[in-house]
Amino acid sequence: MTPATSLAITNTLLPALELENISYAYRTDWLRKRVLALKDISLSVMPGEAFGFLGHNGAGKTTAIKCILGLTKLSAGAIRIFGKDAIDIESRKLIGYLPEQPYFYDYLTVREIMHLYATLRGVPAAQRNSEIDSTLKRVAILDRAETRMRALSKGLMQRVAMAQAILGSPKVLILDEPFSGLDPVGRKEFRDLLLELKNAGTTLFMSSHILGDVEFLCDRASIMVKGELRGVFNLRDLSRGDGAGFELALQSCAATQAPLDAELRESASETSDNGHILRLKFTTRYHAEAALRRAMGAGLAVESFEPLHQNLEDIFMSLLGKK
Amino acid sequence: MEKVLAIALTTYRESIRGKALYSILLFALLMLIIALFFGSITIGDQVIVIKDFGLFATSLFSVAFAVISGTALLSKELARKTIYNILSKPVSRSAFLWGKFLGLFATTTVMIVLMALGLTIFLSIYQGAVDTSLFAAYPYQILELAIVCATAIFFSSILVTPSLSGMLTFAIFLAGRSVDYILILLAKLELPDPVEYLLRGVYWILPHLTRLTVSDRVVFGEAIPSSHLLWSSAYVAGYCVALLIISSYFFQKREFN
Repeated sequence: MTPATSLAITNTLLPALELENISYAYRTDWLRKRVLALKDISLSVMPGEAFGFLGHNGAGKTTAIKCILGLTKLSAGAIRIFGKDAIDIESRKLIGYLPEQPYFYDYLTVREIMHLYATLRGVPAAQRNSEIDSTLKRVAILDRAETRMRALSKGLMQRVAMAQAILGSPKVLILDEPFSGLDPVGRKEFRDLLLELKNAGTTLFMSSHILGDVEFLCDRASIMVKGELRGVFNLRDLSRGDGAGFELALQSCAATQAPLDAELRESASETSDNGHILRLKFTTRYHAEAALRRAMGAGLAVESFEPLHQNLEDIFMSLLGKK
Repeated sequence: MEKVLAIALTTYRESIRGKALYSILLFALLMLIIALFFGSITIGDQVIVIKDFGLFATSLFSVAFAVISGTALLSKELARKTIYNILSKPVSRSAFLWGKFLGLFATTTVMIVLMALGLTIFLSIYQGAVDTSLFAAYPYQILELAIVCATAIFFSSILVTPSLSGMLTFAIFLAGRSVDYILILLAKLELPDPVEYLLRGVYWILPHLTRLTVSDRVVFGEAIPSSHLLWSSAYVAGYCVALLIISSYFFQKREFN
């Protein structure tokens, strides 16, 4: 892609990725009834945005990704990449894809694999070698370029998978469990690389079980439950701490203050007491501040008073009905 | 075209580094044992027996390799999901199939060339002089393999089970080698019209591999006109192209669940 084309794409108001009322059904065999794997899903990811695509195993994340890549055909709806129908081969020029559990041809070297993908992606022959070297260097695997794939560990294989995904600087990266198989150092390096790509304007669409990484990298996230989209969340709002309530921690009341203790506990939505510190949780600022005033007025020592931060895990677990 | 060749090169490298060399080594070992065995028991022209057996073994090994490897090719790609990485790039499914076919065909051709070299060296040592008399048979074996490879790709593109694809490919190979019997049958039997039309249809659909079977003529030193090779090549090219177009049509509709 020429810089001019690239600029034209990123300047447009078209979403980088758009899923419009998509559904996907399949039969395990002719006699069995249809299984609806994706149910009327709609979402848009804007250019330069990092989007987390979450859900438990079997929720339909990988199926949705296969639909985006044109590997499975939709039963209903449409998928567009910068306005182009995802079925159109041309749309795939804009995509880089990192598969879950990547496998490659065992007897090929890393460089041979990269040559294959560079050719398929349409990297001009004259630029292929330099592009491959710089990409392998970026994922810290250039020193293994002549090693056959079968000799690589899972973590190194994941680096090759990332290398082939970012080869040719695609505008949209579809990442299916990008941190799988990586050690802590590898995870940190991948996070930094993805952040760098995001800052450079690449759109990220990422499915992951590691919620901390999604929270760190993504601007928004959606949660899939049994093939349905249960909501799209702005992760920047979560980090601002709105909506999760407040916690007041006090020194536990003496036996003579039993009525006050009972009153405070009754006003809270949740309490815990370890014998020294009484922790009271409130859903609203009004109730929390009223309790704080009451406690201070009675001369109780206040240990802390703070807004509670709701995190992605809380939302994820509550949507799955685990909390 | 560059993308097709890149897939073909990958398929070739993966096949040749994986299994083909072991097959060739096995072939060489088998040849040596059988030649020594025949040398000790044959009455008459031992060289003709060894040549005949050599061509038979070359054909058998390469066809077996093409059937097994060809039918496993796509199922392995699907099982290991390597196909996802390929088709997520701007590559058409038909380009993928053509690449797989060319890679498989290149692998089997190299196998035949290596086995032919081995047989030539063996015959030359056995007779004490360089013997290239079998060279006329190898282009026909290569043409026959092209049809077997295309058939294997065809069945793999429409069926999920590699063993079933393999059995059907081998069945088509055997039927293609016996296709002339259909004409003999039609000439000898009085069949109702619909059955006769059906058999004639089957006759034209099946690959005419009998046209490519020239081993006996070569072994006994009969000259084969070059026009026969030319027409046979044209027939095989047309047959393979037709088969791959049909395969692409079905493969285009395939879901990767």
